[in-house]
Amino acid sequence: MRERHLWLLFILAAAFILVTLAIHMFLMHMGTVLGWLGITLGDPLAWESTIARSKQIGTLVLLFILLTAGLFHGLYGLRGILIEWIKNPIGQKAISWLIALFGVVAYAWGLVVLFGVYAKGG
Amino acid sequence: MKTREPKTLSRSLGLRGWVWAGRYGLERWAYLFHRITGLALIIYLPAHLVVTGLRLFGPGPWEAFVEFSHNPVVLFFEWALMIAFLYHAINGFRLLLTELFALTIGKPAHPHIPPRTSLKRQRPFNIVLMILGGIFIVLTVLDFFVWR
Repeated sequence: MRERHLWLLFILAAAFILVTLAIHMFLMHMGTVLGWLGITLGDPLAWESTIARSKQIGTLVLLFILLTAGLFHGLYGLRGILIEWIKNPIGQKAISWLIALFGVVAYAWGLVVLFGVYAKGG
Repeated sequence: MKTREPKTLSRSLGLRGWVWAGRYGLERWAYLFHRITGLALIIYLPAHLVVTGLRLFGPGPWEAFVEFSHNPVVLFFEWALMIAFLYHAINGFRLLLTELFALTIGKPAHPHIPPRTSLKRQRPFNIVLMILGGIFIVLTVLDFFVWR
């Protein structure tokens, strides 16, 4: 995949993150502000609450998009910073592969968590 | 006659160049903070995946972690991450609109000093977004530390 395609994906992933992470952060951390809007969730970190949320297909879709876009955007951004520092082309290639490998492992773990908790809730 | 070569800076100043490489304008500081907050968020993400994975092992490990997260130091770091997210999201929104839709850049024109579009359109847009960010930051302070 050419660099410009990766860059476009990086930008598009940012657009998805902007929406999904804003929803996630508000649901998890802005209880009082949500209360003003008539949304009461109780303690979002309570075991019953987190399992009840994970039953919802909307939560699954939201977190799936967030996991996919977030990992890609974050790791591609990290790679950009690191290859700016590392001048050696072999080093740049090595860091790209290392980050890609880390991304695959983290994504696999993220999917196990996401679907594992969804199954627990359902 | 011997001509003197103009003094040039190295193309890359490394980490030092992030922090200081001259008289920075608002946009250059915005870029610096975007990088720092981005790094904080990507360092946090794998840790977040591990922590949320505790739910796979039942309520015991999860509730132990939730108890730990009520510690004021953890709460402060959680809040700092919220600020990092807010900044990165709002500044990123500005960058998205600029990259994808050329918003505030304007049509191609002859160069003019000082640059009109950057000072009259881009900078005010940046300032408006930062004020919006400031409002959100105040809300997070209240929601994290006052209203709970």
